[in-house]
Amino acid sequence: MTIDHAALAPLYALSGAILLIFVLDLVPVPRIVLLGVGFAGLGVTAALATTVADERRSFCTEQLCSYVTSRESRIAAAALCATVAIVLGLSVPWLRENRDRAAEYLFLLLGSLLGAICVLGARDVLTLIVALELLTLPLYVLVAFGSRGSSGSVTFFVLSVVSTSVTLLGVALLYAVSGQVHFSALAQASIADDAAPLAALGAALFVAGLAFKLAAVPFHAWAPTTYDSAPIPVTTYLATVSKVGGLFAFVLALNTARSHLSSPGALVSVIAVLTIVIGSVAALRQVRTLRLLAWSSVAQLGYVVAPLVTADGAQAAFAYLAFYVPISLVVFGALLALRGVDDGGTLADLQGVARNRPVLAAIVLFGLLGLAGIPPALAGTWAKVAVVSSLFDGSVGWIEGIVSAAVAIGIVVGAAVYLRLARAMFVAGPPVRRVPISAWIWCALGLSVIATVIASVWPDEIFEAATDVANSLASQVS
Amino acid sequence: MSALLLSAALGLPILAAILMLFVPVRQAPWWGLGAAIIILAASCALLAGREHFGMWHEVNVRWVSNLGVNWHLGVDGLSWPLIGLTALLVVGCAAYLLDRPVQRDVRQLLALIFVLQFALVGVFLALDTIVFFVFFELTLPPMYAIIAGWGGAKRTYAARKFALYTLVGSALLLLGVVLLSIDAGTTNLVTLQGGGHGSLAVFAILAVAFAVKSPLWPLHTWLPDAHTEAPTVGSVLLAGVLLKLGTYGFIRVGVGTMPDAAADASPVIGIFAVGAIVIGALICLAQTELKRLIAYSSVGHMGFVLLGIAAGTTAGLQAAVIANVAHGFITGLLFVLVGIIKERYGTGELAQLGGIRFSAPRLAAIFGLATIASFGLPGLAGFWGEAFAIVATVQRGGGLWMTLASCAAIGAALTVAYFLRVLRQVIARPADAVQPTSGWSFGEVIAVVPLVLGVLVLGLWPNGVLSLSLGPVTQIAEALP
Repeated sequence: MTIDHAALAPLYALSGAILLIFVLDLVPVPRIVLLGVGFAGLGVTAALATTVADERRSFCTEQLCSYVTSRESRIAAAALCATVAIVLGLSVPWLRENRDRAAEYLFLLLGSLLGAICVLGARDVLTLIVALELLTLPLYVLVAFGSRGSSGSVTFFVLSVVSTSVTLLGVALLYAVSGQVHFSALAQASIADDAAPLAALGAALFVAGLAFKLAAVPFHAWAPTTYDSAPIPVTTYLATVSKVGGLFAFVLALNTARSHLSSPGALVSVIAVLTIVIGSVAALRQVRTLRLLAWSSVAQLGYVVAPLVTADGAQAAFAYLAFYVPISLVVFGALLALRGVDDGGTLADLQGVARNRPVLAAIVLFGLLGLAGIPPALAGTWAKVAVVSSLFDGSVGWIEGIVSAAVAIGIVVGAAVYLRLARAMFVAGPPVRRVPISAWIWCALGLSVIATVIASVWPDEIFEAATDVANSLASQVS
Repeated sequence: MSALLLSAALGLPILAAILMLFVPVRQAPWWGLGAAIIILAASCALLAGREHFGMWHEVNVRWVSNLGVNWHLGVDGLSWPLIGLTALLVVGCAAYLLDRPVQRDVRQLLALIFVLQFALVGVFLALDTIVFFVFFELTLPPMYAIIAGWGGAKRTYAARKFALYTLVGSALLLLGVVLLSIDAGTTNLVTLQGGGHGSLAVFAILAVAFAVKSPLWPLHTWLPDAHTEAPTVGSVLLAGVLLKLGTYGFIRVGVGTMPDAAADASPVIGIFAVGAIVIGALICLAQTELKRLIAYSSVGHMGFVLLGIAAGTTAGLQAAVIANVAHGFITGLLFVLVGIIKERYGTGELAQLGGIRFSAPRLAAIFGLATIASFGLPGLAGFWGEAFAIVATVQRGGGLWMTLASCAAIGAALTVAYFLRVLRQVIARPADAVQPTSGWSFGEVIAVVPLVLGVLVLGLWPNGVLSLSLGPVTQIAEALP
């Protein structure tokens, strides 16, 4: 077993920051010091992730390695650090009100990020599942930090446990028939004919269980309650970083499972179509803002999953998510600026926003247009074009046809959803006293908007990164 | 030079929109009018260097390599008439807003109009399928905001309906252009022209997308609500230009790139188009409110445009082009006049209006002119499109097309009938009805005069437009089997 410490350097740096925060919590230190450690930790992690040049392998047996950092996964790691930095910026007012929990909050948030970064490099099922648990475990607590009770946290916890057991069952079946844990070995394992159904079942369970992190059907039901009861920065994290980690896991699992499934496209198409349709339609009827956004994010992740019905659709999936993350940061950040950290409120609570807070209303509108895929927020348009292009690339069978029809219907219904939300801001309301908004939030929000604008005007970088990531993950199993 | 001209025509509206947010409220319409005139000049500048065939001006820059998208813009004889029409109608809209109290901030309304103009010009200039789709989609937010923000009593409902129909159309457009582009391996509309790619299914998807926008019966039901509830300037742009996105898309993206599929589908389009003409006219006969009636009349008029496209000959496509432009002028004028009438008389109900001939003779005269132009009196703008659409249909020959031509002619007669009914009710009937509250304002005159001139000039000198579009139209028609 070789351990390549250079490959793990970003993880060491992040762990160091986490431990430092843990220790600092024992002595009374100003909040700004904790924040400083947090941001510095993120910065160093991102810097280390981007500077380690070659493909590094760690925890290797003779041929197979459990942890591999490719150039692409390290870029993704740096992007995740940047996203968490924005989430941290959005959290500052909450930390100010809850001084005694500041260290705990940072500890958990960075711990979860550590899990997400581990997912990027995981190349065997055990590492992947441990990394995913590390990503998820702190979130149970973070969700419960909201003042709207712990129901969201409990729902999240229960569904997470169920989905993890489904995944583990799938993994166990795969291991039972193949004796392998590494993705590449699993994908290429030759299975005896009589064990093939077992392998197929294992592969299907493995993939379906990982739908949880994406909040895709059948494990989507946690999203509305959890989004609505968590503090909004945590919701933002759930909608962005957590989804990126989830997609890496999902694609790795799917790449592994493909060879054992008779028609992997059919499995994914069921997940994608149901996710899009259920998410869009349920979002139509929501009255609470965050629940609406939660259901819509279910539908959005349906679009992410949709291109995976074709064998080489991962590029479009990653591209979609890469466009979706900055747009989500804009929407959730602006909602946080409007409503405060704790309570997303109902659509009716947004009345008068356009008059009282025109700049923020414009930012929310920009973000919502992005989610709907309508220009001028072109980032969303490119995402949708990429998904549709990917579905139609190559031969178009009935699976692609049905999924693209679902995407088209979802786009229309989804736009109706965002229209409701946008419309709510423009309903005349009583003038309210403007609560000053923290400079931290303005800063985080501004960065998110800039990121979205850049993604809109120069999308090529994102497409290239997404292609690289997809190729890199595909090469793991070949 | 080409890049400069195209950038000016496309970029100036956006600059104008930004400018509108910073000018003083009281003078905003004047600034708007000035900006609109400058944009009109920039659009006319595109005429320099016009050619019979091919693009007059073209830019083509790589934009998104991974999707194969190029920032490919160009203007030719097919697109310029609509760009000029847009610029002129925006001038009319800005003039109409002079000295006119509007609810909410007039600067925002003007800014939205200019954003809309940007999107419209972008659609007409786009020579890349994805860029075409992007601009097509971009027309939605400003138009929605104009209806929802400045519309009539049922504006929320009308705006939502408009948005959802449009979104269905653009979702289908997305599927269609992506299918077409992947099949052909290029997004370039110039190289796509002439065919060899796509299939009947792809054409059908695109045809439905454009039929929603045009609108083609039975997908027209968003139109009456949107047109009726929109503010006058919104109705003018909606009827004058937005509907043309559908027919222009039909010609440029549908028929132009998939002639074989278009030829196969043409009987179906023809039947629906004639259905639109006849049913539109019948619905208009039953209308009791002036603005709603004008709105429904668009269904029939656009039916003639689509009939011309379905016929698919050079004459038919030329009819579509000229009917497009003529409908823009005439219906734009009619909506301005209806706006004026509703404002002066406080009602648009046909039963309550009457005797405008006595109380406002000049208004009555211009309204009469616009009406008879609309039903296609020879010598006025509306005549050429309708006449040539029917001629082209007859030329196709065969039982189906002869039947379609006869039905279209009956529809044209019905159109005359309902417009004469309007004229009798509104203008001629002796006036025991409501009296006007004001006379002509300067802005109204500025808004009406260019449109009236347009109706007259286009009627007497259709060659002005037809000679521009002949080259591209011939190329498209020749590719049809």
